[in-house]
Amino acid sequence: MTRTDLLTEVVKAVAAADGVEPAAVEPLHDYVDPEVLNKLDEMKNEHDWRFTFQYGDHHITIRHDSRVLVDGECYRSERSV
Amino acid sequence: MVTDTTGGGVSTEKWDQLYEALAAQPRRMIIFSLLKEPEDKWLPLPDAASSPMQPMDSPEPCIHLRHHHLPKLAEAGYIRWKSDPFRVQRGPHFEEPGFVVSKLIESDREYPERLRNECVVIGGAANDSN
Repeated sequence: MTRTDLLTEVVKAVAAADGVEPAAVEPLHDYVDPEVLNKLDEMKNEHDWRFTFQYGDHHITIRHDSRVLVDGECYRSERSV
Repeated sequence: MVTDTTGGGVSTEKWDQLYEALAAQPRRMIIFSLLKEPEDKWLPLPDAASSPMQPMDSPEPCIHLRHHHLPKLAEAGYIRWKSDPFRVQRGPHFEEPGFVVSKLIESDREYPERLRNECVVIGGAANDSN
């Protein structure tokens, strides 16, 4: 079972929040360097941290357990495929 | 002339941008695909980014294309892309990555062994670069 990477997770969560396809969501690159999310993906640890950024009209929070929140809500798409 | 604050020397910004742009296989593949076609031609995506090592046959690589790889190349002026239909064309500064990738391909048989074992553009064995 492969866990979905953070970039995909964030885009799918925003698409779910907006009720659209991931292809219809604005490019994430316009809001945050996607490499940052790749780095966070690798940074699994016991310590408590959260990373937040603005993405279009939404406020995204990524938590240290790699849970993704859109405006405080958890849109848990297919976490694993 | 811009000075590089980290090194105190002349700026290497354009080269750094170029290396970064070429630091992912789908991005190299897009440049390579465009290089093989006439200047103004629009190529269909995700096919132009697809390679045997990283096929674009599922939704997730395509999400990475739209949200990471394509905007990154477009920001540098290397390409233009459209969402619907999903396609890519050379950008105003395409000649920068185009030149470097074509030189890399030209000399790919002269590389040290470990590098030679991977294809310059796409990685892996497939080498249809000519």
